[in-house]
Amino acid sequence: MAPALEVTELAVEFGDGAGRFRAVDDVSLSVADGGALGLVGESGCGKSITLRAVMGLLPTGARVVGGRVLAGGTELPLAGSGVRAARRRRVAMVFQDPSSGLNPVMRVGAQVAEAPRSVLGLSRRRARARALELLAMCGVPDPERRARAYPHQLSGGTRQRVMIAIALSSDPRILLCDEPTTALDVTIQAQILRLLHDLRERMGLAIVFVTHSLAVVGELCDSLAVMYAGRIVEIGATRQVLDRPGHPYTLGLLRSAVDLDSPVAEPVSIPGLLHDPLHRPSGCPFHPRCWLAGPECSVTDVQLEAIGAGRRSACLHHERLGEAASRG
Amino acid sequence: MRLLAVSGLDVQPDVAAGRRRPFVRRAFSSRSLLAGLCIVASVTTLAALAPVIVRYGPNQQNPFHGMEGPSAAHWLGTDELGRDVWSRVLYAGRTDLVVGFLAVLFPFGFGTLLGIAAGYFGGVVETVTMRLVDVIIAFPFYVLVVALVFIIGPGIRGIYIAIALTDWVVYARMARTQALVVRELDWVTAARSGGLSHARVLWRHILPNTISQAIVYVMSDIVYVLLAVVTLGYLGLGIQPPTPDWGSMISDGQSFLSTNLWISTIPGIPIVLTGLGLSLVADGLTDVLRPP
Repeated sequence: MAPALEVTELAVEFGDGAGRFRAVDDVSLSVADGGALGLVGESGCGKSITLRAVMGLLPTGARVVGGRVLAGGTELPLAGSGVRAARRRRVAMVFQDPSSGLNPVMRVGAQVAEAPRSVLGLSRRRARARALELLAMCGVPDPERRARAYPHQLSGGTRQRVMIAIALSSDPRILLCDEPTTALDVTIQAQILRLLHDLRERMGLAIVFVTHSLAVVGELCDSLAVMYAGRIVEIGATRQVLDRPGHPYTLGLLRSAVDLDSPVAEPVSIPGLLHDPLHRPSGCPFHPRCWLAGPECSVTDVQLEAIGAGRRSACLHHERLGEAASRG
Repeated sequence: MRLLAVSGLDVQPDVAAGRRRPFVRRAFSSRSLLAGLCIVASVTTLAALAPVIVRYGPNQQNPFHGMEGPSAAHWLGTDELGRDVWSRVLYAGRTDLVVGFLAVLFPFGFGTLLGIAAGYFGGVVETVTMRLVDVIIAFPFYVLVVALVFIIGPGIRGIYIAIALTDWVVYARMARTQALVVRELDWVTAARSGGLSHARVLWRHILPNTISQAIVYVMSDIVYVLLAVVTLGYLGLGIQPPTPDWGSMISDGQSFLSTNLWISTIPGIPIVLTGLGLSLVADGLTDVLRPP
C-alpha cells in the first residue's frame, strides 16, 4: 500500500540572480497511515518551508524547483491553479501561533463549521453539529459554549485545540503540524501532544510534526528526520536516532537540550552559527561547526547513506560518533 | 534518556472567561461617538422634519420683506427675494445630506471590494487596479469632480456620477493595504489550506478584518463629499436653483456680505455642525471598532 505521504527530492528556492539560494534541497520523506514523522532542526533550516511546499502554500518569493509530493499514491501539484483543490480532504495544516491562527472577528464554532459546510457540502445544521463533534474530539471543554466564543475569549491551549479542530474539519488523511506547541507552556504542550497522539491512533491520521524540540519528537513521533541547511542530515526511527545519533549535528541538538534524568548535566551549545544562506560552505555544510570534521569533509559532497536498518546519515564519520558520544 | 514527561498530566486548560462588552455598550461608553451621533442626529432630524417645523416654503418669495434681519416672523431673517432663511437652511439640509450620504455608498462598496481583491490576489488584478488608482489620485479631488460634473452636466445626477468615478480610489488603496497584511496571517493561510474558495476567504475572512478602517473613513468622506457638493453649488455646478442648497445659499448671499452678513454665514453653520458631528463619530468608531 502506498504511504500516506511521500515526498521525493523536493527542492525550494528563494530569490533571484545573486540573491538566489536553496532553502530546501533534495528532501525525501515518507509517512505511513497512522505514522508520525518528526522534522527537527534549528530556525532557518528549511523545515517549515518543506511543510509549506507540501501544503502548496509557499510564501511569496519562494518556488518549488524540483521534486514530487504524493498523498496516498496520488500526485499533488506543487504550484498552479490546482494546488488547493488537490489537497482538499487530503492534507491539512496546524499552525504555530494560536493568537494569529484564528479569525478574530468570527465565532470559533463558525470557523470550524466552515469547511464542512463549503468543502464537504454539509447542510448548515449538520455542519454545526460536525463542528461541535470536532471540538469535543479535540478536547475543547463545553464545546456548545466555546463554539459561541470569539478567539480572544479562549486560552492559548483551547485556541490551539480549536485550530486542530479546524484542520481536521476538512477530513484530511495527513496533518502537517508547524510547531503547534512552541507557543504554549509546558503543561498545555503535553496535552496537545497527547491529543495529537490520540487522533493519530483513533483516526489513522498521518502526522508530520515540525519542531525544534527533540523532546516533543520523542513523545509523539515514531520516525525522525533531522534537517540542517535545507537538507536532511539524518533520518531513522526516533528511539534509535535519539539513543545513538548518526550525525554530529543530531548529537549537538541532543546535548543542547535539558535532560530531565540528569539535571546536573549542563546543556552544551553547538559552536558557531548557521552559515549565511548565500554562502554555503563547500562539502558538508555542517563541517565548519563540527568537531569531527577532517579535511575531507570540506571537499566531499556528502549524501545520505544507509548506516543501519532503516537509518540513513549524511556524515562521513558516523562510526566515530559512537565513541565520541560515550567519551563526551 | 527521558526528555519530557507527558504521562500523568490531565489538567483541563484554564479557559479565560474575559468577555468583551457587547458592541452597543462599548459604543455608549465612547463620549466622542455619542456626542457626534447627537449632533448628526439633530441636524438630520431638523432637516427631515423641515416641512413640519417651518412656516414658509423654501421658495416662497416675499418681495416686500427682502433682506430683513432675524425677527419673530423670520427667525433667521430673509434673503434678497424675501425667502425665509431658516426654512431654506432646513430644506437645503434635506438635499445636501441625502446626496452626501448616498454618494459615498458606491465608492465605499466598490472601492473596498476591489481593494481587498487587489491585495489578496496580487498579480494582474493588483497592477491594473493600483495603476488606475494612481492615475485618478494624481489629480486633486475637487479639480476632477468639478471637471467631471462640468462634462456630465450640473445637477444631482452629475454629482453622483462624478463622486462614484473618483472617490472609490481612496477606499481601494486603504483596503488593499489592509488585505496585504491580513492575507499573510495564519488564519487566512489556514482557511486557504482547508480548501475554502477564494470568494469565501475574501468575504468571510479578509473583508470583516479590513472593513473597520473603511467604515471610519466613510464618516470623514461624507464630510468631504458634502463640502464638494457645497463647493459645486457655490460654483453653480451643483444642485440647481430653485432647490435650496447650502452652497448656493452662501454663494447667493455673498454680494450682501457687508450689509447682510447672516444670509451667507447661516448656511455655513449646519455644514460646520455636520462636519464636526461626523468627525466625532469617526473618532469614536475608531476606538469602538478596534479589534480586541
